Amino acid sequence: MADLDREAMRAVVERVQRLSDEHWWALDPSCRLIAGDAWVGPAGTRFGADVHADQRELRDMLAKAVHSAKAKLASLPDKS
Amino acid sequence: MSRRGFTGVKQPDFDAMTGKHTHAACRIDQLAKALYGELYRAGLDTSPALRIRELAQRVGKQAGDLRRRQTLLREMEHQRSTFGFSTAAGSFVAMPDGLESACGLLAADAALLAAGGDARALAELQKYARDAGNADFVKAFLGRLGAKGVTELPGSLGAQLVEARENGDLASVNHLATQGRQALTLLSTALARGTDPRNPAYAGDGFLRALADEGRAEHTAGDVSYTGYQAQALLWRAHNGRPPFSERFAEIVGRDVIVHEKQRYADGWPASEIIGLSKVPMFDLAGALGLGGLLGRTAADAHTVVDDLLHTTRFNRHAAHALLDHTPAGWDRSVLSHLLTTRPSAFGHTGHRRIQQTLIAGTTGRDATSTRLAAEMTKVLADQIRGCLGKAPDGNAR
Repeated sequence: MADLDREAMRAVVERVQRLSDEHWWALDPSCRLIAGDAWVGPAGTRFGADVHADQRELRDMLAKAVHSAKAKLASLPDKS
Repeated sequence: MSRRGFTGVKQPDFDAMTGKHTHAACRIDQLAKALYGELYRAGLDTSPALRIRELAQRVGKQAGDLRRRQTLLREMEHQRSTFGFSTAAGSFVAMPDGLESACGLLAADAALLAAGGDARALAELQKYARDAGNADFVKAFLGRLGAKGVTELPGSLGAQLVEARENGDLASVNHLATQGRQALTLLSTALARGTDPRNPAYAGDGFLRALADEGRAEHTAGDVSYTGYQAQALLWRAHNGRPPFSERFAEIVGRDVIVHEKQRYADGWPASEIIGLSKVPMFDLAGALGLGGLLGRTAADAHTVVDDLLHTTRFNRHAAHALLDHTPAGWDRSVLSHLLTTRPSAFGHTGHRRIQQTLIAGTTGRDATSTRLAAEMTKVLADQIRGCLGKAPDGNAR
């Protein structure tokens, strides 16, 4: 399973990159609405902090996945 | 913020955020699955996908909380329990910061409406059965209801039952009895927690004193007039012992019930127009109105207010001590002695089971108070039977 050729790995990189692009902004509406004071007060403030942290984590994990796929592609010998 | 412990919600932004966040939770969950597949098949580290799956669960939970708050907000607006305020950031609707507090306010409003005869509100109270264990819920619930509301919900349910029965409306009788019992159980559990200083839901000594004041006060519901304790007694009787009523409750309310009954007993009952309320001892409202077991968890036998009180002390030795091992101001004997000497004829109306259970709770421990109460009980009983079991002139027992 792990022995993909460069072509297959390039396709993996593209699909992972697309998943990352498509979900990069998934939490952005919540972040913008809470930053725009949709909900104020202690519980709202906690929610805002949580959602921003969630968004950072989501992006970190997406970047990590893309990076590891790209690194693997770069490590494969060029057959051509 | 305009009020402590309150949260402000701006519409339509809050509704939009709830919808977006719910959608995001769903998308992130699908992302986690798809990403896991890609990483796994390519022989890559799957931990980013696993972390995203956990994230999806957290976001899902946040979205669930937002939806719950949204529902509560709608109900509060429906019941007009909200208030608005404006700041530079816009116009907000205020609601309690904690979801459980918001539920407590809603439940209290439903209870007040139910006491006013609103059948839908009574049915709604069932929703909150699980919340009665939450301190924030109980605080908000009892805080809004107040000692008067606590007293008048059972009073009003009793009066509504009498009216439905007189009208021959059996469907309403069944409805009121079933839902009324559930409402009383909810209120009873909340009351046990809210009157225990060791419980985070404790509403304070002031609330206990207010219960005693309302307990002594006369109330009316429809055609029925009653003394507050007669109605509160239905809550004590509905109690299942988890958690038990506290020692503090026995000190402030329990002792006052005993003193109050003795005062009524001594003065003779005031002339009462309502048949059934003019008896000694003071029956609880179900007993006084002849409701049988309709509002109680136990069988149809009549209970007095003191029987119901003794039901609360049987679950907690310290509460039993607080009640029994006390001599009220101006009395020449303890409550224990009073219950064994002055009051037995009153127990004769409804049986001795309650006093027995509280005596067992209060006298069978290995602690000093239990031992002292056991000795006092033995002495009182010995004094009582001395008259029957004296020595005959020949020296033998009679």
